[in-house]
Amino acid sequence: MSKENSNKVIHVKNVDVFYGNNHAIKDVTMDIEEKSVTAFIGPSGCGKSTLLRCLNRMNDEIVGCKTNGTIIWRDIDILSEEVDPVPLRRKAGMVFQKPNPFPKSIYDNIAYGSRIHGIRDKDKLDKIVEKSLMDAALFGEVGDRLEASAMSLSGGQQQRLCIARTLAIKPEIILMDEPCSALDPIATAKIEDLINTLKKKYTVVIVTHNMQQAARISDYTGFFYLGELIEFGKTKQIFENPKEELTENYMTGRFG
Amino acid sequence: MIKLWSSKSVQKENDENPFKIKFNLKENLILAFLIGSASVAILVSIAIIFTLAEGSISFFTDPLVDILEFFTGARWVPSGNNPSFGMLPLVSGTLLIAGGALLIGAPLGLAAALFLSEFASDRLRSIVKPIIEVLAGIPSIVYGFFALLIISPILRDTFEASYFNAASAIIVIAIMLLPIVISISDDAMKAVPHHLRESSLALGATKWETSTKVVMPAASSGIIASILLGLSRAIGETMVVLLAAGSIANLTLNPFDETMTMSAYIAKVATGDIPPGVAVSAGFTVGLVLFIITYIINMIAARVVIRIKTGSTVKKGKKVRFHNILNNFGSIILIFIKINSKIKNIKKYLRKSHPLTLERRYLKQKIGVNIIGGSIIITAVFLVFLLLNIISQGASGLSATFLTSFPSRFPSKAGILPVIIGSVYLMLLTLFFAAPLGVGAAIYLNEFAKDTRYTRFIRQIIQNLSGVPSIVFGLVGLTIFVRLFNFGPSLLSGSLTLTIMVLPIIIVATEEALKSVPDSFREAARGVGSTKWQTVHHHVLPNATPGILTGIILSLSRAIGETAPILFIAAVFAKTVPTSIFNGFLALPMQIFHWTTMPQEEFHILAASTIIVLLLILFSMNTIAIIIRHRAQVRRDW
Amino acid sequence: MTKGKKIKLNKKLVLILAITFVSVAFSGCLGDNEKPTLIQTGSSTVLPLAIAWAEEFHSAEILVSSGGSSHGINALLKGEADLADASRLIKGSDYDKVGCSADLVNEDGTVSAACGGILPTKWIVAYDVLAVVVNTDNTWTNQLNYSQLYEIFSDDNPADYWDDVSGLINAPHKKIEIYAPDEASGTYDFFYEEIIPKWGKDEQQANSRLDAGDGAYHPSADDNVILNAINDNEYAIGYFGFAYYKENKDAVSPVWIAEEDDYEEPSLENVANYPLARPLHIYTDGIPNAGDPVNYYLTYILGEEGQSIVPDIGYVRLSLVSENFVTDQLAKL
Repeated sequence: MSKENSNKVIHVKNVDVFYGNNHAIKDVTMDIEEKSVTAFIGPSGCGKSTLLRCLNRMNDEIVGCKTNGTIIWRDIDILSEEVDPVPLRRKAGMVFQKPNPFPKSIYDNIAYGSRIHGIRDKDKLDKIVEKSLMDAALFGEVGDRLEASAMSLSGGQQQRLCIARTLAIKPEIILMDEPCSALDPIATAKIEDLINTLKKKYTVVIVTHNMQQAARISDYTGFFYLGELIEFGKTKQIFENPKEELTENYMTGRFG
Repeated sequence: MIKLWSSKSVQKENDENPFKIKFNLKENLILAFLIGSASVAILVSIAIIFTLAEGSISFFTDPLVDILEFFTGARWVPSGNNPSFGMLPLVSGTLLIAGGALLIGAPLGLAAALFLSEFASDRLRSIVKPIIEVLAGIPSIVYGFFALLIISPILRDTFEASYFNAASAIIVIAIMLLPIVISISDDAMKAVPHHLRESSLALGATKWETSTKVVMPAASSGIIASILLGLSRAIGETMVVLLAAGSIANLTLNPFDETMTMSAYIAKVATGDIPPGVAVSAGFTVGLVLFIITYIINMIAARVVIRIKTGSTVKKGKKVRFHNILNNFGSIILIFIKINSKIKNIKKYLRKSHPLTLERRYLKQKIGVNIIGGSIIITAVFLVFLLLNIISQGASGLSATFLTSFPSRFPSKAGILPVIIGSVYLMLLTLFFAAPLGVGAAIYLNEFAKDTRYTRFIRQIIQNLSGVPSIVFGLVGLTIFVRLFNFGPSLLSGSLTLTIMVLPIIIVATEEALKSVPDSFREAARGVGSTKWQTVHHHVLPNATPGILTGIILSLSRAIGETAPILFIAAVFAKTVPTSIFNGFLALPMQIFHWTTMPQEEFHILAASTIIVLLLILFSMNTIAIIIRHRAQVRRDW
Repeated sequence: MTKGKKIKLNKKLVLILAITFVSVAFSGCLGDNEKPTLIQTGSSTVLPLAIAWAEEFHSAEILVSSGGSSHGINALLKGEADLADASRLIKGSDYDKVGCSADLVNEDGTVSAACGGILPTKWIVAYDVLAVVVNTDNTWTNQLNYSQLYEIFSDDNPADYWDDVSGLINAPHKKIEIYAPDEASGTYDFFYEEIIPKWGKDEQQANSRLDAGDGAYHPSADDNVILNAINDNEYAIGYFGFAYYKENKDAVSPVWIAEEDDYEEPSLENVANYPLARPLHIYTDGIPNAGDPVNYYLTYILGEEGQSIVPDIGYVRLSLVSENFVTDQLAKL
């Protein structure tokens, strides 16, 4: 499904991440292809979320976290100190594990990103809100009550709201940290469908502990274990024909 | 098929129903205690109304008094042979001084809280916050003289203010509000879950934008609670007003004029020498009116909070919904806010030439952080100035003899041993009564009671109580504990009086703390079969400890420094220390007040020395609680 | 788990503390006090005297507090206090407040019948000299008589400027600023009783300058504040108890007072001649019997020992006003 002739890629090179003395990510190198879905899988605590957070410099917010290595995107090393995370995060949006809408109205949640980036015109904002909700497949359900509090939505709706919120700032990369783990199967299915649509326009990197989900929706998969990238490649190959024994053991459920 | 949820009436006699509803004595006793605690607030309100009602009735039935004139008259001259009881000058004085203090103190306090919570390093915060809380314990008489002797002369020179002027009181009362606003707002903002900040940052917001647009609104309930508590404090302040603003009712909104507030008038006549008569009952009546006014203010504020939390800035269609105006004054306030935002929108259209670039956003952040950092500096400067003042005056009086002697009419021999002991006993007793009652009431309201009209009513009553001037508590303490319960002027009466005074602070702070504990904790506990009390006891309370301790610290600080509540109960001279809770006692604020009114300069120095001792005790009390609180807050990881 | 142990330890500790606390709290009930305790409360003017006497009197433990003359009398009538300090006389409204008939109270501060079992009995224990003071730079006001005081301090055609006051030489055309006690003060009441005829009655001739509402009278409940204000303002005038002047002689200038033209210096020694002197009272429940600690205390106060320390406090001992005051009252005890 990915564009085979695309040569726009995010180069992750020799990345290490330390939380204090804890070596959480060990010398990871991979290439993430744009406009595709890349899944990070592995047992709990293997570092997949940590690596994900490197991509939008969210680890900067954690005291005592140190990152080495380079991540090159569009000829810029986004890990370099000269790169300001604030505009970076506009380009690489993140959806978190637990839906976390702001305690504001649905409209204000989605308009938030646009407002802080300088868009104040009411009509523009209305359009952005509507489009984001449509792209997140939520407009049909909440379009008539945009002024209602976001906290009144169900879990699945809230998560799609968070996705809409991220889409509203027009990122190029969407980072998803186990977005469905707090949701029921139907809500999960809806979001998986959504991801399938999103990858046409965005680069999606998704962390998931659900192997079946990775198999369903991703084009590329990286298997992590204890901070190391054990294997990375096309999803079909990883699942049907893993090269590493560790990968195979994980796939067949021998651990994790 | 086993009916897993059979009710008692459906169950057959022979069936062993493992899920039968059992009568749990412990749960029910605890619940009874909690309900009782919440109801204390109602009892206290009744006691206040009872104390004030008698005087009010004799006031309105006095031939000299005309009800219409009382509410609309512009002349308040309660003595002489042509007395006039028009309340408007007292109302204007209260509006000017309390309103002015809030206008300065609330933004300043919020700014400082924002800085402390979001921008200060942990180390800085752990130093600054306890110092600010010490500010809460400085007795109001110190502020009063600070206003009169330091602030007022500056105003007189610069603005040609009159000798007694409202502005000096306004400035000083604004400073007095700071600890309340800062402490509780800071707690509220700190309790906003980290993941909200993360999602804002992940959208490309700067730290400043995250703090102001996400954290502050999410903490709005706590912030508004702190502002209301601050306003209540301002309305109830008497000493500063009487010392610095004036003792005469004056219909004016000019801050450089001499004027008096409603609370100050009550204090004046309650502690004066004039025989009981219409001027004194006027005081009780003014107290009752004040009680009702603060109730109305709190009612409006509660509705505004609800609207802020659930409402939005989106108008449905182009119409603004109008509610029944009689029921929703809050709407009116929000309409004003909406008109305001409309004006802002127009301004923005005009500002097209200045797009909001990243540089501008960072500039905003820089300016913002500097301003709020500056507010901390302003607060710190005032505090340091105050403290230096006190220390320079009182340091010479401090000595071992001073701390171990009894009061005397000779300044050289006078000491404060029984005073310190009295205050310590008083604090311990107050803690003993107030902590369980206050925390219990908050637990009941937040964890057990359903959100009905009744619980909202109790909350409003509690909020209302925090606005009662401390002199009214003094009168209530006298009427109820000293006389009705026959405890006499004793430690018991004194501590009970202080308890009912600080109860609202503890309840409000505890409720905010409980609200900050995520529901998921409760759900998890209930999910493994805990009873409601077990959930609260093991899961909610430990996580709410920081905020609860803040409330207790603030309230004890307030209690240790207040003269008015114990004015009719505490003594100023004794040769022995109290040995039982039924004994009379001396207390630090009373002794300070007493010595400052003595003509001898040496006693003024001793008063300053006593203030230093009070602050040291306060600081140690706070430090212990803060250590506990800090540990609890560090462990917080949600 | 250490946390569990900590909690257990804390619970035990709390329990031990609680038991200790409770037993200490109620130990006083065992009643092992050797000396009797007396409660004295009321006027803040009498307070310094009360403290001095309580300190020197050794046969009883006396707990002294303030709260105002009204509170003192009220406490006496309610049986909460043994001695009520009062700078004023008991009035009918004091009886009325506790539910007795106001007619039972006489003009002279005595009562004709008890109220609720309490018979307030008046004792005059000292005198207070009221000093009228002006700023130290005020050279034109060295003496004032009652009619001049009336011009300044009443609302009857009051003088706005210093040169409006009749009989003052070299007075400047500057506004008079009055800093003086507020209407809830006994000092205020006494002062006006002297200069406004029929003060306190329905037919009172005029109102006070405070009631005039023209902004000339700046009241304060704190005499130290008044002192500072007069010290700070060149055109200020005010009045307060002599004790405040005595302790701050350099801060303000005293004014010699005359009812008509016999000007007297405000001082403790001159009290017999000085017009603005008022009695200070203590009220007790009836005349205390011999053997009653209140009796011993009053005997001490009215006797030489108690009276000798009165001047140190800044008040006037009874013998300077009238020797009879001492002997007549002591005779009752």
